[in-house]
Amino acid sequence: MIPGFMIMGYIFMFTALFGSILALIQRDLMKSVILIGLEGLAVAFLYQTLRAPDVGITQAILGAALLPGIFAITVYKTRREEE
Amino acid sequence: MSLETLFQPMCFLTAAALVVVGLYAVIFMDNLLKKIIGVTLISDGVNLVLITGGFNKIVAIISPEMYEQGVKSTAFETLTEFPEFAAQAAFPLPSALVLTSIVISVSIFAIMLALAIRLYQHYNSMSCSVIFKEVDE
Repeated sequence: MIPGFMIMGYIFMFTALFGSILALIQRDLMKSVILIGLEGLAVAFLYQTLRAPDVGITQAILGAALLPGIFAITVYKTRREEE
Repeated sequence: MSLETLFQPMCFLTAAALVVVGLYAVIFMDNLLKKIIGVTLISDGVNLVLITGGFNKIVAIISPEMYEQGVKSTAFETLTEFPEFAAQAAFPLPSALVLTSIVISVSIFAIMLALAIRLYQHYNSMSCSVIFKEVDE
């Protein structure tokens, strides 16, 4: 009998990998920034399933909210589409 | 091999794949923002390796004899399931280190993005090949 948190862990491993790959093949950089936020959130939940909840909370704040915010400011200051 | 025993190796594989994808982005992508995104992926992969290494089956706090016969705590008389708890607990050192690493990496990314904005204002492009061509002239 597999525990529930391990099923959640497998789902978030899949999400982190494909979020990162999809973020790199976008032409629109704002979509890429949003997918980076998704990847950070998946890694935060993965820390939670790996029994490190303090790291999970910090990653959810910094990696999933603050980092896409400053990336979005950079995209706003420069050009949006990749040349 | 069940899914339960494969959980920790799959986490290691995910971290390795994140590092590989990040290295590919840093080396082969042309846009500056995607290079910085690659550095964030490498940072996430390395943090995930450290956290996964301290996941379970690490009984570092109590000795094996104490693990066999159980620990009688003086403060908590009813605490008889302490060895099972210790067998399931995570090693606390990597989480303490990675907590510092995440905070430092976010500030480093802020500095990198600020430098990217300055490069865009100076050369009026985010493409690395255009910037290198203008540097050579």
